Amino acid sequence: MKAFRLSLTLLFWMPLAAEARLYVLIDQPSEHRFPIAIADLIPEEGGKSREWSEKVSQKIRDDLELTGLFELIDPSSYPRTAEALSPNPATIQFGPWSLIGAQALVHGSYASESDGMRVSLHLYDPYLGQHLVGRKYQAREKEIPVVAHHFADEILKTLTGERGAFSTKIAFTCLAGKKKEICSMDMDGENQRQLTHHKSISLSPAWSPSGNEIAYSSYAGGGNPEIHILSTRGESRRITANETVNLSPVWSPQGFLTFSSALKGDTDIYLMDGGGKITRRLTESYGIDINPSWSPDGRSIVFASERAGRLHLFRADATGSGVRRLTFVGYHNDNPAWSPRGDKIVFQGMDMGLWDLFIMNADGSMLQRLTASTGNNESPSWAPNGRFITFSSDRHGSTQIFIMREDGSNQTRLGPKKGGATQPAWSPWFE
Amino acid sequence: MVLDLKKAFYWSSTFHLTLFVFLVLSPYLPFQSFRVRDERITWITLPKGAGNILGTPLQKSKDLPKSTIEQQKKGAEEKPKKTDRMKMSEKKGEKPGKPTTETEEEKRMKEVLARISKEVGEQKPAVPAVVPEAAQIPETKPGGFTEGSGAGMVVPPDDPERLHYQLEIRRIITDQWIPPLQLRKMGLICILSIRMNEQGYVLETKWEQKSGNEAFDLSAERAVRRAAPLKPPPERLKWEALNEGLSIEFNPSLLDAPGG
Repeated sequence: MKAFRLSLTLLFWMPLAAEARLYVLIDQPSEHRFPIAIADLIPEEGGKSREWSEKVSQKIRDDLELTGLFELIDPSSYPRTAEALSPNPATIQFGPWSLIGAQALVHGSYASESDGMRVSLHLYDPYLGQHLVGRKYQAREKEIPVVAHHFADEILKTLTGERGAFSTKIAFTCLAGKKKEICSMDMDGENQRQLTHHKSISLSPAWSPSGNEIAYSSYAGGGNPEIHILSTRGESRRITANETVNLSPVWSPQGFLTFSSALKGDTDIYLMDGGGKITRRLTESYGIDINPSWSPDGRSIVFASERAGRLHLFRADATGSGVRRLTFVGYHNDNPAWSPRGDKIVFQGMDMGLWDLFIMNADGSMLQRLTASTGNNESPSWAPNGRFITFSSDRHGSTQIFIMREDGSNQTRLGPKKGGATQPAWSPWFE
Repeated sequence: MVLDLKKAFYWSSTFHLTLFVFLVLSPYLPFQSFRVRDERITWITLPKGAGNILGTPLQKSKDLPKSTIEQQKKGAEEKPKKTDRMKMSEKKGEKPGKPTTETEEEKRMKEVLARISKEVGEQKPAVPAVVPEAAQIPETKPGGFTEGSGAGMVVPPDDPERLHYQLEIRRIITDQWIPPLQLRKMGLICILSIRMNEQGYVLETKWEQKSGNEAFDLSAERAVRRAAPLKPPPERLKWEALNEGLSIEFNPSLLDAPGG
């Protein structure tokens, strides 16, 4: 009988006892940036150029800083012991790196060789003592930025799963004397080069999906602006000759060229096949339709149109059908750029007499501002990973190229110092 | 024969009465409506950050928004936000020190909030400098930057001490959890059980459930290790914390909430 009563009591209390363990739900990550230490490269036998070593690590720091994801631990707090800085990955002591709070450590070494340097770069998790990624490079001094950008891409890929855009380029319209040409530079503003030499006015560069060609509109040859294509070999060829205004070329993800043209009197958007033949008129309405941008899946385009009176943004299917209006506020909303992730559209709009940049969801909702009180900000273009936006701004006088994060933070000037740079176009990844 | 019937009746009554009490009181059985005891549960919606970051509403702009996303974020960071309590008192037109007629439920809620705030760390109430704004906000589907106004976390504070200890642990570990970015919205979940000593040092960790992704699991384990020593458990929870330990579920589901 006692046993029966006891079991009854236990049965009663059992469900309550099961609650004893404390349960904690962690339903959001920290808003802290990811703390990372990037040590200067250690010389192996034959390595002597300290400047070389610092340049690589500083370049990696600069790249990672741009992302806004990392907290770069102050190098003055780095451990100085030989074990913590051992050039041999197998003998590195990670304890001191954990103590300064590093959740990732970039560590490398270099050695002089007859035709340059041999560089080893590694990424570790100091807490677990785990090797995350490592790369070896054979490089000459002028290739320092290439090495640093490449390894910064590897770091981003490893720690975030997201492909970095540090090895990409930005094409833009630049001033060459009194003429306008197409130029390019690395995404950090270095390595600026003039690509065209028409001695005319060339505008609106746009990269092909592979990054092998740049389409642009140029007055070269006199008369009206025609669409040209520039190859990586530096050869330029004209692909339209219709003696009307041809502007704002852009490539579809499938590699078809799309541009605005006044072929039928009114400026509309046309699609061209690989052979240079116009295959479809995508828009046909009263008022100009200009500056198309493709969704990353190639199924839709967004463009600026005057069909509603003032310039506003509209979205259509890839065939030009199913047009619907996206913006209902502001006026002169122009130069839309569809994000590589497909979820956002950034564009320029006129407000208080100045151009500023705005961003909205691809369905037109949640329209928010990215720039304010910094002169004119125009011609946005996305980095291929969708993390940055490049644009031109005259906030410092003459127009220069800037980049910023997708939320408008960390607006950074890339150059050129002399100004006169407009219409930046961010390249895709170069395979 | 008569005696046997009485005995049977006695045991049958005892059994059925015990069964009735068990069914009514057991929290796992669906007979809650028959509960006889007076259970006063106060539901408090704690927004994203569990009280550390309190919500600011997203204002609908009729024209192009005037403030940038960055300005809104900075405004939200620099200026402490209005607390739920402030909003509540504003709505009712209360003045400090003025006696008001409060319901029993409101009094209880205030008590619970005061206790949680005291232990977790109070945020000074103030109005944000820049109210987050956007144009063309859809009626039913907010998105973009809406710090603090995402889906809330509903916590039944029937045991305030337990709740605020859980919140404190949550805050400390959340602060250290930096999972790989690409894994944050993949629906990964891992559960780690830990055992600690009286000083809050983690003695042992054990996986209750792995996410299937090593980097995600490592980030969770690292967060716990880096958060140690955890806050020592209060006296009432000591037995549970030291003997049963803590189950910590890493589930970044708030990121899927609007504005997350």
